[in-house]
Amino acid sequence: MIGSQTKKPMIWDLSDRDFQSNSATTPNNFDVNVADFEQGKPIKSGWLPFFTSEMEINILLNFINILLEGNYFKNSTISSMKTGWLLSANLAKNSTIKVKETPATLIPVFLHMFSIARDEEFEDGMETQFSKDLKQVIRTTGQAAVNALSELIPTGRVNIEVCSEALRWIGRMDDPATYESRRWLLERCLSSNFPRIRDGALLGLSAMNDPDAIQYLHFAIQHEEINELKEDFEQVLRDLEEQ
Amino acid sequence: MPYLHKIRKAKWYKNDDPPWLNPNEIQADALTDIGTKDNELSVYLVDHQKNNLDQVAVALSLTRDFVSNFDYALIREEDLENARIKIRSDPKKGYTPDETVNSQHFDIYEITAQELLTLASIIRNSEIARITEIKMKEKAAKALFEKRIDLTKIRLKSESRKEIEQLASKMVNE
Repeated sequence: MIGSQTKKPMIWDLSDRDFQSNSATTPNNFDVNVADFEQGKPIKSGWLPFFTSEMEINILLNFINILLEGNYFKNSTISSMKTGWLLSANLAKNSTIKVKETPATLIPVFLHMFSIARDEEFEDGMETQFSKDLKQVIRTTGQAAVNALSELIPTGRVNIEVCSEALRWIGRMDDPATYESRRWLLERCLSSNFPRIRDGALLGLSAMNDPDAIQYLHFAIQHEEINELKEDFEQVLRDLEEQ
Repeated sequence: MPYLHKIRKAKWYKNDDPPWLNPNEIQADALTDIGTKDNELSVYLVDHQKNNLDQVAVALSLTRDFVSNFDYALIREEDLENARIKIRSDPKKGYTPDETVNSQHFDIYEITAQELLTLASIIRNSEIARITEIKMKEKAAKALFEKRIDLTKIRLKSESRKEIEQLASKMVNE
């Protein structure tokens, strides 16, 4: 199947279920449906042999990245979008082969995720599909995910509103393994050029409720030019200093 | 008396954000904070001294997945009157776990697209503020502690609910 990818774009329909339910009964396979991209008709459906070598996994990941970069998933649901990282995460989880994610492999996944999230409506206090996906990618791929986000968010390469939402969740989520790097990302984003990113970082740090951020807030307050945002910095600073 | 409407504060900055925005202009994204349903918009009455502001904020925050920061605008009654924007009391549509707050629910109604823009302008010039997440959690716990909340109507997800209940039980012990 990998060999045929160059001939024609295809749709891979890989759902969460495919990755969660198969291991119990058929630990060496997972279900995959491949459909013609243009026609939307199924080409192949069934069990795909489990990949046994790191090289094969890398080929597969590269293929997924090609699909993502080519925007072949533009009409797909968010579930299909998850293909790339779910696949690699599942392989890492259920096999003895360790897949080492790098920021380079995750950036296209995040770019696509952020692009889709532009259509979501974000509200304070509410989870979204985007927030759930973001948390899952970070929990599954750890430091590499935070490093990839560190390359994308502060520079405003992706939609600012989505960045702001991401930062809130980067602070809110519970994942001890990435705690330090997530906090560092939030502290760094306090000095972003984009006010909404600074606000998202502030809300993320507020959710973390970690006095380590105090020094960074002091610095941010000194340099903040938007009065309303400065007031918000000061409020969170007071909260943290009262701890 | 002013009416509270929940917003996202960062969309309403008066400074140059985004940079292409001219002074006194409002970015279109801000309109998502005043999305109407059946040409109506929910608001809650707050007294002049803002004595019930926290109560309203807590009641609304307990209808979410989790307690977070609470951003709001206080829309002046006279601004609505001057713009001839219609408003009426409708306690039945108050959906919070606090009956007192529900009784203060109002609908801005029969809103035209033109009025929506006027409303955006009114909000931009109104008092806009934020209660931080840490403070909101304390206030929510206090409301539980004081038994002002109908526990069956809290919509928080279990993890967030547990956190608030733990804070409230700490208050009991203290």
